Amino acid sequence: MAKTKLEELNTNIYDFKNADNYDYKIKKGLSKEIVEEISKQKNEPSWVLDIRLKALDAYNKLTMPTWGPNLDELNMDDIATYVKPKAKIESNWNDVPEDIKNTFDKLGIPKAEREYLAGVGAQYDSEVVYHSIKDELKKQGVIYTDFDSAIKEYPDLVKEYFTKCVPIFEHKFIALHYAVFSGGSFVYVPKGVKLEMPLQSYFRLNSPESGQFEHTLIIVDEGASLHFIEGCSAPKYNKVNLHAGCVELFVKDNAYLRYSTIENWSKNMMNLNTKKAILETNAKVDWISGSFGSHISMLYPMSILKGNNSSTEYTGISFAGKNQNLDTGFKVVHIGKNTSSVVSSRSISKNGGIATYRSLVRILPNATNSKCSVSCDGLMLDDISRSDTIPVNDVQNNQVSFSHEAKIGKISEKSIFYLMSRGLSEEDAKALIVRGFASPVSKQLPIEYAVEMNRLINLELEGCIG
Amino acid sequence: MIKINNTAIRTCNNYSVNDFELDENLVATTLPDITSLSIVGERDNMKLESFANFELKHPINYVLDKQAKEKGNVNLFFEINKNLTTPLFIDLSKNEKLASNLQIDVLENISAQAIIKLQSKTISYNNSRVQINLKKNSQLDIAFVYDTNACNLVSIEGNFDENSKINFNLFDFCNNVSVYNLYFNLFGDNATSSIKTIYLGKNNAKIDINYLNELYGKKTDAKIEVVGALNDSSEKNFKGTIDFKKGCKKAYGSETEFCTLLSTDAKSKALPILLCTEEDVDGKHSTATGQIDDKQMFYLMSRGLNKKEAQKLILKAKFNTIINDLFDDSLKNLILDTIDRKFE
Repeated sequence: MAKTKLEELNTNIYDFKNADNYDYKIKKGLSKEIVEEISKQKNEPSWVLDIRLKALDAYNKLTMPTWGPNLDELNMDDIATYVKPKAKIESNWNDVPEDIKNTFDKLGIPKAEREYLAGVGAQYDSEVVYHSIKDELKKQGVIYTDFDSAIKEYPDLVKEYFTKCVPIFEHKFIALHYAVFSGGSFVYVPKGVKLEMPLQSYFRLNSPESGQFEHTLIIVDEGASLHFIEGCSAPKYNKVNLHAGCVELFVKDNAYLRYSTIENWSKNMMNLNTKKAILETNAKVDWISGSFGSHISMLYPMSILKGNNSSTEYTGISFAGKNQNLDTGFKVVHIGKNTSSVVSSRSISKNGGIATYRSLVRILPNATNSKCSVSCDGLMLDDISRSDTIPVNDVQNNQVSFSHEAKIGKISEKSIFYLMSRGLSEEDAKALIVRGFASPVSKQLPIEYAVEMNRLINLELEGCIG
Repeated sequence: MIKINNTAIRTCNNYSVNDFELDENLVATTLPDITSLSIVGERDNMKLESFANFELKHPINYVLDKQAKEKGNVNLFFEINKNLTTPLFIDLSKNEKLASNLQIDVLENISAQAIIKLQSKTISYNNSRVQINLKKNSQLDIAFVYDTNACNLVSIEGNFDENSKINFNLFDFCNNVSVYNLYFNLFGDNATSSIKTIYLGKNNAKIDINYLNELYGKKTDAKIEVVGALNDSSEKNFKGTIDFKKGCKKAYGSETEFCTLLSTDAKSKALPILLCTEEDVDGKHSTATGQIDDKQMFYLMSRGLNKKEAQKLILKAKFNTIINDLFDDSLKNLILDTIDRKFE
């Protein structure tokens, strides 16, 4: 069928920027002096600086990955790792400076908070500028605060868990993260407390040639449950920005956590994020992930099924367009007995974009009676794009049931023909099929976010098929 | 340790699957003259020469490739120019150490069959290079049978012209280290490759299978089917890649791998890769790992079979789709007999 090829439209609704007004911006580069200065600016305890310096040493020792997307464009000498906005943390939107408040208004965060969230955190560049949680949750003992405040207010709890899920030496960019981390959220849900409404943290990077290194630490105690939503975006600049956040999730016996991410970083962003969950007995974690933005992404959320009967599901979609190389996937390690995992990944590539599904399933010798099912599908919308699947399946005991399947290809011409015979235009038929392809992810999201994701898909599709 | 058998594309180093680490002490430093070489075939239908001079695009490792190429003690070149009615049969079993170079060219519009066998308890080292070139409209059915205690290192390359077809079969029943590196280049339109492999790992056997199919021609078709079982402390890595290159419109590629684990200590890794830079293709893969179904075992054992007999019967059924399609009855019997022997 004939194709109408249009130039990529500038439809990125997140691409608006404020003047680069900041209270303090650290000089570009990475050195011991810079790390010490960040710590000084944040007036944090010495044990945190010790971790930063240990991490800096690890960063200098670890090598760049020899696999995945080419990261040659990233030069740490061009990145400012700490930008303090002209704002302090507030719990009332009216107290947030006008330009920053307007930013989050445009992103719909205060409206979402009013309508269907139990709490909100909003980070602007390197610092959290707004954090709030409903009073009734506070009374139940739920802690939801920015990570810097947590270090000062709940030091014992932070010390017990910080770096224990994602160790400093795990890879070069996590070492970088620990050296310069700033902002992020801390959540503790006490035993038996089940949150009916989600919490959301939103991360906005406004400053050019800078990085965002927020740390999110969530502990869902025994029998508790939580839905946490993470959103992120940035305006587009000509030079590289860097996001190297870290998410550490501890899900205790019989607890449940749903972790949803809609990521729409700007198309100059290097998104080298690390997310990991440790699950105790009978715990469950569901990951919902939509990756739309960034220039390069290396993002592989991970579940460690440590406790017997623990389980995890991953449902993810990535949408790689022009100048985008999205290398995403999922990792799961089965340690406990009777553990189970279900992985469903979809990727779409168009306008020369590269979408790669990269994964690991590892079932260890003691994880008897474990089950794992993986499916990943790649859809190519034109012949200048690329779609790869690179899954590693490592089974180390025989009492398992493991299966993996993948498909790659284009939109079925029969399906288009069928829909066109029912009166749809070719463009509408293709768009409908793509939305159907993405529906396993949007179905897992709260309705408001599903609408948002479908809107993103529509914007991404505009001008690229037909 | 030397790293050999690199995957077509690297993934995270911590997964320990990008390459195979070979104990360099297993690499033979001296290669004596061979003591036995058996070739049975229709001499009038082929040209046979005792040299083979070819380069491999993706060898198992450059040092090992150089060893076989420069110091090889077996060098054979076959140019098959008339249809064969019986398979060309090459038996290299009765040797101690081998470094071989084997080239098989099948000319236009010719069909041929070949069986290459290495079945021996005495052989300790096999470093083998093979190149297969299929010209336009040709077809080759070929089987490699390895059943040794040797360090078995095999590189096979295939180049397939328009409308050519290869039915490639590889059987591994070795008890030591088996590393297979296969690269098929489907550059001709409508070229077809079917790769089928059965492996049986026992004791401390280590099997590393690395298959790469690059599809360049339009309407090319590549299928990989790997079935096997691992017993005792044996380990297997299967790395299969189907790479759809730009321009291979209407191409089809599929890979399936099924591994049965017969022991709690056996380990199976699979890396089924699909790479795609062409939109108008159809690619898929599936892998599965598990044990033999308890109900099947119970049923067979309730009919009087002991555990090993029941396991053997069930595995033979799993292998049957590959064995039944073999092009030669004596080859089928050889495979079935070898499987029986492995369960004794």
